[in-house]
Amino acid sequence: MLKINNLTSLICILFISILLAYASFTGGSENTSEAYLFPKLITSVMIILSSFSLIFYFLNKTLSVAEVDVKKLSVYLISLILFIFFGEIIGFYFLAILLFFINSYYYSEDKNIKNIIQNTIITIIFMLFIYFLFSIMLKVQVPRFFLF
Amino acid sequence: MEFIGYFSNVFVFENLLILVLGTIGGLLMGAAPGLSPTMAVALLIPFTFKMSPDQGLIMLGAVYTATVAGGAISAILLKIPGAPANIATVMDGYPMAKSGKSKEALHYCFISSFIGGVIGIIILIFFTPILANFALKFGPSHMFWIAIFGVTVIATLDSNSIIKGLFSGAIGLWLATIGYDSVLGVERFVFNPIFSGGINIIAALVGLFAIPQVLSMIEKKQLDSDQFQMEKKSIVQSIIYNLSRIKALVVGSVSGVIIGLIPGAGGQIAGLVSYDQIKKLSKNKENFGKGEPDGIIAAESANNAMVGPSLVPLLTLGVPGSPTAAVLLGGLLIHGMFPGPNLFTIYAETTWTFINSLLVAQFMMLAFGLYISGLAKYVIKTPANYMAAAITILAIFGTYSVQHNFADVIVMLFLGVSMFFLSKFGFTAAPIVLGLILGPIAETNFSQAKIIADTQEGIFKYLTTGYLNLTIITLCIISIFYGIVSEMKRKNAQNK
Repeated sequence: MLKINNLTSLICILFISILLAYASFTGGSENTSEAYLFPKLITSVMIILSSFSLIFYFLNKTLSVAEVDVKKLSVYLISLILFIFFGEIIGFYFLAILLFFINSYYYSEDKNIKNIIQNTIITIIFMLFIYFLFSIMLKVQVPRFFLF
Repeated sequence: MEFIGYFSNVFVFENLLILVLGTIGGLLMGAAPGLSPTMAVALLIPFTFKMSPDQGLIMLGAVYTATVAGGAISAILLKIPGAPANIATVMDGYPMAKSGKSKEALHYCFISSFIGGVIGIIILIFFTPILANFALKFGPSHMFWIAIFGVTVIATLDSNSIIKGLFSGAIGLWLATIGYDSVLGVERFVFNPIFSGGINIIAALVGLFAIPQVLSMIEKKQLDSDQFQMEKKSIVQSIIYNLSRIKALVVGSVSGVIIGLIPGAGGQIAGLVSYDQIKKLSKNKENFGKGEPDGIIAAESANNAMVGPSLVPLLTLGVPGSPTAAVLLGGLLIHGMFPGPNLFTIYAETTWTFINSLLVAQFMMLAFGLYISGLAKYVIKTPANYMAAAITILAIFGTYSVQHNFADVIVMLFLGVSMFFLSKFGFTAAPIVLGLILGPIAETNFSQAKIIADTQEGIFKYLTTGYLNLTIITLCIISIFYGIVSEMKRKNAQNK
């Protein structure tokens, strides 16, 4: 279980605001500085707002902790990372079939043979629907690997 | 009354069939996360090329109307707005669905969409010339403030903390500056070539709403069939209740009509502004965000009431009132029809047939929408594991299909996972998305205002003088002040 308290998050947000402000105030040359006027305005507002958040935190001192069940989410997050790195190489349909089947099986309550068969049938039906909607109806050319 | 003479054209068998197909297709496309009205109309334009101008425009009009309403289906059932116009619908639609009133929420959505839609089309028919003159009064400074107003409204509405809401809106506005500056053509913040085209709005919309929802679904097993029961509700009961909510319908429809007339504003602002107004006018303010039907009625009547008026500046001046209207302009041009007075003289038959078909499309949207509401139970009863996997696949394919760019998928997934962590600390997706949508409007008009102001008395004076500027600035201040007061009241109540 990953635990993050609100003070850490507020410091991160102030840090991000300063980073974006730095990029906005130092970006561009003399000729292109006009294009950075709006980002400068926005990032200044961001720094003011994130500073206010920190000030209010120290005034109220209400520490709260957010919990993220990283272990439970790990299979799903790994699937997304695999899609980002191999989506264009292996192909959308092939990876989507794997993503649908593995995630629906891993996160189901009963893990038995009956469930595997049910998952396989639902995966096939759903992916046929996706193929019909995107490749046939909307003529979307997604990256493919051999047949998929 | 010229339009009555062309009504029979809509009821020709082929036109009626196109209208039915366009409405059903539009409802389904609207319900799919990522397939926005703008995208649906854009995808269909090449198909209408081979049709006659009448049929092509009937198809595009029906799809436009139905996708705006259809986007509420996923907003209510899955907490994922099908389109930016349905962001406000999520706020009370999803809590209603969660408490077993999904069918009722969908009924209110389609009935109020129908009422708002019909009012919008009537405005389009009767007040086109008068309203076109009003829309012309909006210059760069007014459009800049309208965009800022949109961000302040959503920041105060969709967040428990006004500071976090405004900060989220500012993040969205900053993200919108990535890529080329629209006025000066300068490339900014392109740390990686995948950002050279900026952040695609659909990718951000899908990522920020769909992925955090899937992650929390997995974490909490939120959509288990046992928790998500569905109460029975007859259509007649829903119609009677809906018609009794006159205040919400009037606020929604009037906001939708006014915002539809403002070039570039669109349904997302219409829905949010009407939601904000009805919340302020309601006696049950504390029920908003917990499943208050007035929230759905105002938001949905507004985003459909916006459809007709958004075509007024398009048809009369060639200035689209919404992003979808801008795409529809392409549909007019490929048939050789240029906006302006000629549309109502030389092309009067096609133009009036198109406008009349929009009116008939509202009735079809109502009938098919109410029928689809009855099928909501199948979505609700889908186990969380299948739902999570299906939403992810739909989000990936839907995002990719917008501009056939894998970078959009990466951005969508990155923003989605980041939003999940931000949501743990009280940040919400809606202000970021709206900041991203309104960012280009705000920046372009700010840059134009600066160019004009440099020849006059400076940018500050240009942005803060004139009754329209002052009215919108006052609305922004009221919106922020209202957010601060609401937050203080909420905290006091919690302390007691």
